[in-house]
Amino acid sequence: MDILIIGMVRGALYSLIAVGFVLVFSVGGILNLAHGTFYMLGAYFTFIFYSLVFNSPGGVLLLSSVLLAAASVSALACLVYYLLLKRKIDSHIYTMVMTLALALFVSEVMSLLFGVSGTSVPSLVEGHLSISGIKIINQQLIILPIAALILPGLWMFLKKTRTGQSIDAVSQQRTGALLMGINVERATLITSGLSAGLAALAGALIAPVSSVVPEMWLFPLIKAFAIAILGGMGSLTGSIIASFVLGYAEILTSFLIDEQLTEMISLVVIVFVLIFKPSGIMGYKQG
Amino acid sequence: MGATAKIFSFPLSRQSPVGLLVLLALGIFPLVSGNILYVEILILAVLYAIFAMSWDILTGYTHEVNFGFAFFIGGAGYLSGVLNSLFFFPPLMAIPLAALTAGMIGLLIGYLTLRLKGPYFAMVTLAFAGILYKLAFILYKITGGEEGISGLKSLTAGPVTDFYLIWTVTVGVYFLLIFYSRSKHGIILKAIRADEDVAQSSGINTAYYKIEAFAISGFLAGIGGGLYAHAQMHIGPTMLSGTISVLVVLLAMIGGMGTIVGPLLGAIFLSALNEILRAVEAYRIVIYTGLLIVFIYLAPEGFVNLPFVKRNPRAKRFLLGKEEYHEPSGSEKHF
Repeated sequence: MDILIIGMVRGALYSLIAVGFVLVFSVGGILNLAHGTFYMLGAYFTFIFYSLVFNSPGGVLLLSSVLLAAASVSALACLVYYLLLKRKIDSHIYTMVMTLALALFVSEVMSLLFGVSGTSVPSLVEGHLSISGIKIINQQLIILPIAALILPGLWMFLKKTRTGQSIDAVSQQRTGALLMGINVERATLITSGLSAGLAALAGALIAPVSSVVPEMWLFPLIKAFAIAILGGMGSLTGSIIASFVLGYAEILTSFLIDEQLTEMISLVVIVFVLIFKPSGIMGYKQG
Repeated sequence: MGATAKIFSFPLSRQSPVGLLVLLALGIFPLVSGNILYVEILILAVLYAIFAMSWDILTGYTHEVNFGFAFFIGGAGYLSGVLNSLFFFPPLMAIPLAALTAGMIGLLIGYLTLRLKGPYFAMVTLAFAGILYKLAFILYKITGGEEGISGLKSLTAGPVTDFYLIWTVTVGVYFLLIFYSRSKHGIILKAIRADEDVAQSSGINTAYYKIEAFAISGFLAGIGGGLYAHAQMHIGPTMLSGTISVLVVLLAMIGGMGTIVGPLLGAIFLSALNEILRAVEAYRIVIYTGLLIVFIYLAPEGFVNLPFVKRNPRAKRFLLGKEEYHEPSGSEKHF
């Protein structure tokens, strides 16, 4: 039972992170190595807004800091895309190296500003729930309804609204979308912001239950990789399924075998899926 | 140095003057300045030059980004460290053995992964390096976990002789790679970079050449990693971490990929910059990484590949040497 719930929480968290990663890859062709950084910044900005800007306790203020953090990170991501990435969007090497350099830079800035030992953020919801004798912290559970709200919302946005449809079109066929008069630049910009916002939200939500440290960008990034590859690059449904698969796989390993091995799983998944089935669960073969 | 060039029957006059000058200057430096601290810094700079140059032979020439170069560097470093500390191999035996193993594993991994292209290849190399990094902690009985293996036998008696040994290897690696890149094999790698499908349909076994380049770069990185372990007399998980992989990519990229000279210059220049920034130690890494972003922004293809250099035949001759044609960025869309 505890495996079921913790795995679900973890899967939901991963899906929030990975969906944006996959979206940016399929729309912009950007392998965004700064994705984990946006996740980290989500947590840090929540701390900055709550403890330094508002500087008074209160649930509403905390909630608004979370939202403000997500919004400002997504604005930042738009800025990064506009200033640094847009000019050489065709070059995989350039975008990868640039985002990676950015990730290192931000992580160093954060350790300079707030120290390597990290900071902490109070919980949005206190207490814990006991389910058949197992305690689960409420802050972790809150991720479930949020993911359940956001993921279908994202789906609706992509399929029903005009902007969303244009993003979807660009991800299917960039040149085709361009020829149909879709503003590809704008679609990519919106996607960058959206994906960073989702990652930041995940970071902000997980901040109270994990320590906010400058190195926290690395693991979400590797997991987003693993999920994107397992689900198939460019497939949103695939990535959501893969998030839960990975979440459960990790929980099962840590419960049944050894906790040390959990972080290996995503790496091993990357290697094996890429070697034996590079298109992933739901991916289509890249032309 | 002249002798090295003659072995490959390769006229010195065609070499890049800047590359030769830098190598020569590095070689003279310890004779002029007796400061051991500077020599230690140069040892690191030269080692990074080995890493960056051997990374370049695969990625610079085929544009398949190897983001897990620490796999070879740290892997060979650990292997040579284990051979030395557990089996008491002398460094001069342990390093080549470790490097050969790295080359072999490179062959195997290359065979498995080089079918993948672009970001997929980058990710799988990253994952391989990550697995090795985790293993260094899990197999702590052999690898010493977080602390790594210390007390390795040093290369030679003192830092200056250490430096000259490593410097000789660097010069050797430099000429070997220049020779390789200008040979038929290097030209084929460039053809793959321009358009792999066309190269394939011209009857070239592109997979073979890519795997070969991958194995060579792994072997040379292995030599560098082994030298690093023994020069520092210590090997720890940092040499397997993503930071090392990223650093090598940045050094080579900022210097100028696909030129061999570029990564050499990039590694030396950026190592020097890193030391200069020690004047403001508290902000050093922030300024350093910030400057890296600025450099990549200003010269996305590296400093020796700037448009200014390409337009100006003299500058090109000076930086890159004769017979070194680097195609413009038009080919980049394809990978």
